[in-house]
Amino acid sequence: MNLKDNVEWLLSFEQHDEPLGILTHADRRELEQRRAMQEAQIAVPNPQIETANERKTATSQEEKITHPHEEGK
Amino acid sequence: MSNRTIVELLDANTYEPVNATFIEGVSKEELVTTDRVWRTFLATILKERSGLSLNQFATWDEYCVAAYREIYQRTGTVDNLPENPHWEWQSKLQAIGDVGYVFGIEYEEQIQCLLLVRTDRTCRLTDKFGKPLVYLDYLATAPWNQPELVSPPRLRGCGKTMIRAAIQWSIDRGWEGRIGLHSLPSAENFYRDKRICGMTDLGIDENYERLRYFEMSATQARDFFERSKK
Repeated sequence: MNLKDNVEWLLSFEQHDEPLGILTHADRRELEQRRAMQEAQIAVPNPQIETANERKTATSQEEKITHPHEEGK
Repeated sequence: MSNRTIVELLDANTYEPVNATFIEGVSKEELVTTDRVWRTFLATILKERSGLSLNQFATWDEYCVAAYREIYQRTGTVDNLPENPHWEWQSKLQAIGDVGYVFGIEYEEQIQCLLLVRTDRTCRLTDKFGKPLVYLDYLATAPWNQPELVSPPRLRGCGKTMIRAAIQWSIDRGWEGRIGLHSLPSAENFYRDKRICGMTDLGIDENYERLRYFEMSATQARDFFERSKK
């Protein structure tokens, strides 16, 4: 793998640079998880009065939504 | 088979060059270790921001859901958190099989960035339609290199170096530097902007969660690859 002069090459970007963190990719499952996670966050009206058991149940339900099986990908 | 070469990156604090190791063919053991190390680091940040500890939950995924929810309720946003905390690299490579290949950048005995590419996709650009390309399936930097998580991050340039490596790998395979990827909305400008990647925007892919699909032609790859000579 020829990656010579990489710093010189990287610095040529600095003028138009953007955060490295944007360089992520996602497939259908990843996005569905993300969206379901955000929806679940919005759907919880008042977590301060949530009991431990309710929290556990809610988390379990979210798991079904946000973490489907890896198979079928 | 794993090949290792030296590659220079930038220390994000000093902007001084540092010598890292570029790995072609990250091993299964290295991926397992990286998953563990990255998660441990991220768990520290999530605990700081959410007040929740990993050991309160049965699984990592449960912890992430709860911590993200708590942070959202505290701050009103999770935009500055990774979108991929649940990724398990070893599983992803295993699921793809023989057409998958993982590149890594190692520095100070830790993996700083990972890229999973696959070789079973073909060009959608008209003039090279059906020709093979390197498809960038997953790309992620270590949490300590993400400026939205850690300020300042440890290293700069990991992600761009990975794209450069994917282009070089495509060239080495006789595919003229052609690469393709689906972009998250927040990254579209990075891939489209002619001053940065300059890839061709082929529009929303209705069959891929309505993500925009981008391709880099041989000419665009040459421009991207040789930009420092201009």
